[in-house]
Amino acid sequence: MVSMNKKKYEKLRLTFLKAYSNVPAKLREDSIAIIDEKPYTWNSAFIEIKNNTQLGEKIIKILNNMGVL
Amino acid sequence: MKEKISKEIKELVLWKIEVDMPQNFRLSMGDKGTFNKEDLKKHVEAEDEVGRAYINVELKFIKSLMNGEFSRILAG
Amino acid sequence: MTILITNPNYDEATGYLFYYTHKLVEFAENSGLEVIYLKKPRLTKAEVDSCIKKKNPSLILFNGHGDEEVIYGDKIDGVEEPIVKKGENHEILADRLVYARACSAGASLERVCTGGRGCFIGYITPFKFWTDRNWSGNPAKDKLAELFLEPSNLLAQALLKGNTAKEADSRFREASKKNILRLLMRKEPGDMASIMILWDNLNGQVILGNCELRHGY
Repeated sequence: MVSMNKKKYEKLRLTFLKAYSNVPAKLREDSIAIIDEKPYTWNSAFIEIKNNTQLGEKIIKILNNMGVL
Repeated sequence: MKEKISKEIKELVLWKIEVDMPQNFRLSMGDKGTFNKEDLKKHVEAEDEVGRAYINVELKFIKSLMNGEFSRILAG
Repeated sequence: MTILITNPNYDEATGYLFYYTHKLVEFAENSGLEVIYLKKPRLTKAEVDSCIKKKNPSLILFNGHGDEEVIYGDKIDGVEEPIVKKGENHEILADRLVYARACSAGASLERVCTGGRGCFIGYITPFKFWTDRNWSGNPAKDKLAELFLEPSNLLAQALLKGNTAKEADSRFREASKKNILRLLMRKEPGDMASIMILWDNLNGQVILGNCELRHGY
């Protein structure tokens, strides 16, 4: 996967983290992205994105492609 | 002109229908008809009028969570 | 004070609405209101037109299917009959208080119907609801469908009680929000899907025109 522009990634990352805090606890268990046929919930996405992992970057890109982030 | 459906949202919606929707659930969508789990999956796969409408419902919901509107309205 | 209620019944969706609307008819009659209750075979365009012109109802509750420009009645000879159509007879709704349930008439028809003093509560996207296959054909026992249809009935009841359109709209919103919150507190299969549709209906409902209008005024 092509790396996202760093500035754009950081902006989207912060947007996601802020958005996560506003999602009711139960809805955080809902799936939000599929990568390589594996689902990721708000919670698992949060862990990856918070820790700046490669997977986190992929999730951010997918959410951006979907038009939700 | 039909808006393009991203493969990412389509994949997600199909997954969510598979895992979140119990077998006994049927969705009535006005004059479009009433659909069970398998019907919905077929329509989403086909990206036809019903499928696109359902995908749009999911998309709007995720957007409302992402932009905080959902929590704001519920808390208000 | 006269109320007109339409109640088609020819598919699964209208079957559920038929049950819930019947509850409203009973409520209205028990409240001492004069009710013009149009269901098959009286639910035709000609009959709707005639009743509205002769009886001048102060509140109209439409149930059934529709789209941006049409509200349908029942199926006549296998075909849905339009009973109100933009550009043909939409003016019969002008200056009236109207609630159109389970249509997308809010998208366009609503805008030409409200006139100077009227108010139209409807939907810009189709009203949706989940039903439980285990209770197919028995809406009274379907607790899943109740999550979506009861808030809508509360709106209609509020109108029947003489509340303003704005107050009735609030009843729907509060009841829908209450159901969403209830689902957020429990862990049952399908809850996420139900929350999503309750949210969609909340956002799909629109109220146009004079929001302070109430029936009888």
